[in-house]
Amino acid sequence: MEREFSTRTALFKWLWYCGLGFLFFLIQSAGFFPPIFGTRPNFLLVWALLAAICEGPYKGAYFGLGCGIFFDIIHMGTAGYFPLVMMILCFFIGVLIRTVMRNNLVTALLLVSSAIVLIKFFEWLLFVWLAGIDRTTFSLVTRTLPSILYTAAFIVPLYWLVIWIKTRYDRLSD
Amino acid sequence: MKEFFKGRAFKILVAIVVVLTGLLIGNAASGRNLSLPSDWLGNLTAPFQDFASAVKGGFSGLGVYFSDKTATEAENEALKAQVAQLQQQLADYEELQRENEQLKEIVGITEQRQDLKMIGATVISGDGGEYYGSFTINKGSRDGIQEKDAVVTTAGVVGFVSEVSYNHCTVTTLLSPDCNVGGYDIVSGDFGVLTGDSTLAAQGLFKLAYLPKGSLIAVGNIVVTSGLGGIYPQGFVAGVVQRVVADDQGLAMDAVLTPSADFSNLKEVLVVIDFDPEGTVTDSSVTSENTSSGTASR
Repeated sequence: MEREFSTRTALFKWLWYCGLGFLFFLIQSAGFFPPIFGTRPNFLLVWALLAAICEGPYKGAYFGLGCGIFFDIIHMGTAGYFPLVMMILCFFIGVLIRTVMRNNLVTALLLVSSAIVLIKFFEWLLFVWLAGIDRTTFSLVTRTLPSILYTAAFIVPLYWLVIWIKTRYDRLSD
Repeated sequence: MKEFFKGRAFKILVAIVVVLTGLLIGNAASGRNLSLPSDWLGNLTAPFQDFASAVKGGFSGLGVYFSDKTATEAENEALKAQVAQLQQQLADYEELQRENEQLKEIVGITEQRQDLKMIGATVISGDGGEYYGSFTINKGSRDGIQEKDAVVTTAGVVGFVSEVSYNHCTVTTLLSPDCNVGGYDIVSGDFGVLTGDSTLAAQGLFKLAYLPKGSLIAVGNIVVTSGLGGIYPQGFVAGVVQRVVADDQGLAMDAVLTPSADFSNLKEVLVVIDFDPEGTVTDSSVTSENTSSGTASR
């Protein structure tokens, strides 16, 4: 009976994660937030990374994979880059939190910001620099950096949201 | 830490990473912009994206309503001043009308281009993350759209279809270096290639490249598509010349253009799914599903 209840609360928790993930996908897709330097915040990146912080490496990695596939739909021209890199980073973030770090706002800020920088930097490296697109530094400064900063600005509110979901359902299952 | 890296769960994860890496390399090698899982999932999510886009449109309208309310008084004063100004401008009306008639001949609106078969489409996604403003529209192969179909608005050329899925497709704009469309200046008659680069794209501009060194193209001239290359029908307005510069090698000239269509704010577009390169009528029944698609921007 207890196990059934625990499974049900876990299911509701993941419904929240997935439902909000899909909502962020639609918000990002329709461009609800005003562009800054032509870029909009990438909620799905932050959401997947924060879920990995709270849910551990394996669940986080699969959630990162799902968010990456959705991200790939709206972020044109990256041909499967995001599912791969988000899955790997979510896994490693999950491992770090389980082994050497604690789950709090400071570590979340540190890990998610670093992951966003890595994802965006390698995106620029692969799809701008290696692709031979002209004026690579210009693209880095005028597009990649604003995108990183705009996205990172949403880490704190989304962290509180993910923590609210986790504590609410984990407390219920306890 | 060791327990994370041994066991079946980790091996499955590694297998997925290998498959994803293979897909990424395969996509890169074949020049596909969208991975297969995203393509399939995109077909399912397109209606939801369409809905979100419509909701956003509604919110924008609401915002405009309230901001208009608060600004009504100031606007009223400004309008009074404008009335006085417009009375002055009435004197130039005849000349403007003549100019307007000339421009109408150039602009390829649906009614005037019976030689084109077009369908209306709604922009459902364009997150601004892409360097050259690519976006997704809610029509795909089931509607008869094919790769390299031209995408236009009543204001002018937007780009071309670069990736087609069942119920949606990706449009690459004129700002992209991948776009190479024949164009010419209607005043000087000089031909060039309409294309983009990252510097200009960041400013929302593109260029008519490879103009002859002695070209007489001038600021303010209108550039239209030449029809060469077979992607674009002839005579669609691409943009207005903002400045003329020598190209990097100094062998030719480039005209920097302001696009006639506002790429950053597109809502409805028209996709040219068939046209006669010779300009004769192939199908007089222009299948514009949405006549309001004529509106280029919000």
